[in-house]
Amino acid sequence: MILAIETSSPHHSICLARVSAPDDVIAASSWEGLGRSGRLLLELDALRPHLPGVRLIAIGTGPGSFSGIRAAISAAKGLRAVLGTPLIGICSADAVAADLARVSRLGVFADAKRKELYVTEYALGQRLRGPTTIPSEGLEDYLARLTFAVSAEPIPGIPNRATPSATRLAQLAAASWRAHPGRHEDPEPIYLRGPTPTPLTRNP
Amino acid sequence: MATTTSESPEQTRQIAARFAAHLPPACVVAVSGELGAGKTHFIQGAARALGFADTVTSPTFTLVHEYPTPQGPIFHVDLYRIASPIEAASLGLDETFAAGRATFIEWPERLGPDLPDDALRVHIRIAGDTRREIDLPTPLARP
Amino acid sequence: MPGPTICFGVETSCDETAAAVVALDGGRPRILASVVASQAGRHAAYGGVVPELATREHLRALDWVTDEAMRSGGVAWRDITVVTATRGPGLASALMTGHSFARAVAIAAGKPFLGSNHLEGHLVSAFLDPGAPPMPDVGEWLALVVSGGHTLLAIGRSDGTHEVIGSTLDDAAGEAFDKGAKMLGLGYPGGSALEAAARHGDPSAYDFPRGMLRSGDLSFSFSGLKTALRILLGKRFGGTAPAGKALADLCASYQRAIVDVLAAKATMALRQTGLRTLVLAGGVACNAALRAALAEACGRDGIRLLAARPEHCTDNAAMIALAAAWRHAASGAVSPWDEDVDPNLGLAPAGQKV
Repeated sequence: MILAIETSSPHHSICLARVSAPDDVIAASSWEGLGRSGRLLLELDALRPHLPGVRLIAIGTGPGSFSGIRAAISAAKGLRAVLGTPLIGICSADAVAADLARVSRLGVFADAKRKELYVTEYALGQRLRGPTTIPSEGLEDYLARLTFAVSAEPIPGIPNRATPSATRLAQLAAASWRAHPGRHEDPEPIYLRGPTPTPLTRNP
Repeated sequence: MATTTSESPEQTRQIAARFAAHLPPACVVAVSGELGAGKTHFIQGAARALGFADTVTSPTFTLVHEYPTPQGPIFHVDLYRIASPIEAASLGLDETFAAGRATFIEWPERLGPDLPDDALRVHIRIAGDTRREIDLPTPLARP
Repeated sequence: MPGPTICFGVETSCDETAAAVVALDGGRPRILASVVASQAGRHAAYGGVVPELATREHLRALDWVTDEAMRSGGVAWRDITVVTATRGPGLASALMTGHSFARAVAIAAGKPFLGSNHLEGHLVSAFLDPGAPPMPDVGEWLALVVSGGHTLLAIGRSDGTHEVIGSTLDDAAGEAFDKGAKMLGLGYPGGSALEAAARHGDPSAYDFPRGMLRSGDLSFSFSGLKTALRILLGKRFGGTAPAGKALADLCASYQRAIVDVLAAKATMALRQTGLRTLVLAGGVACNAALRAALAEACGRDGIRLLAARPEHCTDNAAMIALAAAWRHAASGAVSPWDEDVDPNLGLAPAGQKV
């Protein structure tokens, strides 16, 4: 089974699906994040009987809310520490684009705060560029090159809403897993701004 | 801008209390002044006036203290430990600014361009052993 | 007869990522493993802790500090009784990483989780010393917790409860050290630089105020020290920090003022409570002048002084694991899975026992 967690937008979701048939969803749940991680842990506890059978954990890595994504990565790393389950990160905007694979020029936006927006651009479901940040005041010019613009939360100037879902994330992760079996990562939120970190020193 | 003179920490608290009585909701107040000017005293007086009766201490270590009031939380931010404006850009304070009854920021200059444009600016100058000159934004400076 | 309580704990409240395994047996703790990944060098360049940077580093380090603690402790997950992580006080985003990680560890391992209070960790940290008596033998003790963020006097009890009886009204003692050091040109945070500079100074050379010394209660105030130092620097040294003997004297006198207040209030608290054991903990507990002053005061009154070992004064997960093992063993306490972190978590105020 594959466990997918998507918490990069205000709408959080979790999904347990079969690796061989990711459309076959065993359990799924969604809720409003409200800046807290408690519900995610309650959901994981509810899935406890299934956890030993999980072969892969997929996390939506944004771009989006650092606190939401970090809670998911922290929790997934906690599961891995005990169960040894491999983790992979999937760009959350890819999950949105997979839902809108017939759009010729799609822009997936998220609020980057500090008068900036995250944007990832797709053509017919394939990523063209990004994710990157643009100044909010440049949005109008940017929209001219797109045929459809979406964001998960309301952003002035962006007419449509689309939310990345754990169910879609599980399908993308299953495809990635089939293409590269045994692949595992140390996922991080998609950081598009500093600080530029370096590894820790060991101090046993 | 108007300037008021304080002769003691207690008077600084009283000036702050009168100032706080006119604060709009969810506002950001930047309180600047050198080490020992009495920025924490000012915020103590303001927090008391806004309905927080307990102890207000400097959040130098954790950067942010939160004080509950009937009209929502007051956030008390102290950026003394933050060295450069570039790094202050990654403090994640954006949500704090919008969520509170009021947010008071000590050492606001360390926030650089991330200090909201509409922040109310209070500056405390040391004018003697205990005398302080306090600059307050004019619409709120009425004694 | 129940076996030992074995606790796996994670600490990510500030800029150290730490994991530990502690066994508590008959009130006697034993550290099976304690691993600390320090980021201090990363933050020094910025003159303080950068929360976003700290959080990113925690997220990277949690795996290996955990693997290292479990490996070096020679324990398997099935051996663990309870899992813990610091839920406050600390930096919100930093706390959240370790707290979410540890709750998921508990879920995956099928173990209960109990969130820990960082200050409770300090309260029991002196008992991690193998030379310390078991907690039940002490029963009740007075703890003086002094760090960069906290200055408080609390009663700790071997039944897992505590009660604060005094705290600072403004700056913490460690902050007074750090800000004094900055004004004296010793960098920031410079508490230990100030202590080093004070070593050859005359602590009676200058007269600094002893805040709240005659207040009759157990409150502390250190903000007046900054003003006194500024005025003194202005009047005697043209507003800039001196060098040589004068600097040493200033540092020694400034340090003495802080130490005097801490020792006097601790002594007063011991007399008021009638307690016979003083626990000294927190980052400032490493200060040799403070240790000497308390040793002298305790020796005079026949009080047992238990000073936390230096590695347990700074942030570590062993004290967090002990705090959780202690409460879990005493009362079976567990936290709900949707427990929130609390960046401003305090200890229980006087009269309100936990």
